[in-house]
Amino acid sequence: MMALLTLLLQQGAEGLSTGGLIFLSVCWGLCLIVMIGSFRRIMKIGNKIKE
Amino acid sequence: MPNLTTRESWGTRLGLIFAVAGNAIGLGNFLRFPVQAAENGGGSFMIPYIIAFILIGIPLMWMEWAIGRFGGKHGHGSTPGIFSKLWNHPISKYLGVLGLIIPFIVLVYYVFIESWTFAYSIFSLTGTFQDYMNVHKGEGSSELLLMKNFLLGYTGVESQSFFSGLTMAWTFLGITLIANAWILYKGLSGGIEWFAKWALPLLFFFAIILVIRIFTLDAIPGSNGTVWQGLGYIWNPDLTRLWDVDVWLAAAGQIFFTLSLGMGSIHAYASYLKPKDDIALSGLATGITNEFAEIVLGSCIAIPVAVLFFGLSETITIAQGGSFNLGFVSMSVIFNHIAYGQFFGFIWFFLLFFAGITSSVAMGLPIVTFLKDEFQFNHKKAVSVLIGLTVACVIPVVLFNKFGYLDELDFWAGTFMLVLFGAVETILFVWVFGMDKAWAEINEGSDIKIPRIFYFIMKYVTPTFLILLLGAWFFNSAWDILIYNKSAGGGNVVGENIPYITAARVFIFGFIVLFCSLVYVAWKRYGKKEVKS
Repeated sequence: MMALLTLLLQQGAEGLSTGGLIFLSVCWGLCLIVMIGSFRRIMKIGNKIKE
Repeated sequence: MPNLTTRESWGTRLGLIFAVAGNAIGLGNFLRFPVQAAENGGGSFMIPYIIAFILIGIPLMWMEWAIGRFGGKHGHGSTPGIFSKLWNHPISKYLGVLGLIIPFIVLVYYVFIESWTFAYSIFSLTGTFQDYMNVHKGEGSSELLLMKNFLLGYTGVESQSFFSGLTMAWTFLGITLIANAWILYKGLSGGIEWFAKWALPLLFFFAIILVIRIFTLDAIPGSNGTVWQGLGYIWNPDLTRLWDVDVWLAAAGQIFFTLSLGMGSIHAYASYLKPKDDIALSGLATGITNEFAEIVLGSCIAIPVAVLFFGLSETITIAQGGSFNLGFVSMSVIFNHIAYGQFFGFIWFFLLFFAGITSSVAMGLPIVTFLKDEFQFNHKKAVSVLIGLTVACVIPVVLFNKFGYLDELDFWAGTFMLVLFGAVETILFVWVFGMDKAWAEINEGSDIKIPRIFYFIMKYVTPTFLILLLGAWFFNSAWDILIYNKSAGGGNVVGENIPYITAARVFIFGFIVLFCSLVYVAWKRYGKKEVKS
């Protein structure tokens, strides 16, 4: 994902406007942060269903 | 009478999350989302989309998990039983019938579309598209038109000698139904959870392979488009569209479809949780996993590669032709032209098949749960009844597809009723059951602290948003469709289609009556047993 974001920053200018690039980066970044954070927390608490 | 001791349960938490995320991640993530985003102003669609995700998507996701787990505590996994416990009123259980008929009717036509994805994955591997083009290339039609005819021929909308009727469509539909039945027969933990645990990672793996392939493709001779332009088409904001009501309706609608809200499936899944299991973090994890599949992977495949091949203006025309035009027609043409296209085509359509099957098994679960909880059917008997009903009801979908039967079912059950059910359950949970009790229910056993602002969002903003959405939708499209002014599939109603459109409505109404009667019978028995005990 980071490689794709870097590629986006390098090459995206030809098709993406500055606004589009910022918007895409914010949305993707937030999505990734929340997703990874949620799963890390679940793994930390435990994968077992409570009894 | 529901038996609390014999109810199944999930094996692991990740398995549950994968199963619910698999339910949410469907054809809509990879086909409907890019088309909706592109048609509604790209970046200006994304602003209301994200607002709708926060104000409708996440709150309703938490509510449905909480309603489901609450029902499970009382031995009910389908909405008639759950609603009767939320609101002690004779009508409440009949309101819950919506949570049985919506997933079932959607399942009936969804499995048919799902079978196309399976068929197309095999066609890709075996080079059938190329064979078809070789047979018809002398006719002077463009490849896009040929592939469109291929889809129309396969689905029976047009009769063609290449397909010898609907034999092939029936065969793939049969295999798809057997696959669904097999997963459901295996049960909750051994079937649905087991399948989701390897299907979802594989789906993500396939999608990532495709994204890498698409973003490393060379420029196509004769096309002036690039994949970056395609990405820009989805993401560049066109702020002039931000005040357009239709853009807001499309964005809110997409949130409903993509998260599988208002269906009754999440309730059924969550009813198998233990009373103290977390739902806040699990709900958030499933919602955001679906969003990753949609806004990251979904926006990087179909539209960018279509722009690369056909250029921006042609892609806009393709997207306006609908999700099938983009996902089946144009993608088949594209994969015919890239190196190892047969393999990548297989990956694309098999990815869609996986996305579809994890959703369709979830659509079948509410009826299975209803029969088990309220009629004490054993699991295999309940699944057999569901499969029997599905087989019987999918026949007219296949035979009358060309007359707008499928579109009609999709509009009423798969569009309008989702929002209707979402509004009903929200009002019932936060206003009738009570927001304080609802908030306590959502937070019970929670592994994260839900910000207090969601208390007010759930109580005031979500129901208002849903009622406005329902009203706007009714007057914007539903009314014209209801009085035959407009076709559910777009355009004007063709005279010869009216009997089939009416038949689709009779079918929906018939199922409402059938399930209301079943609920009546179940509660009559249940009431007698309760008095005796």
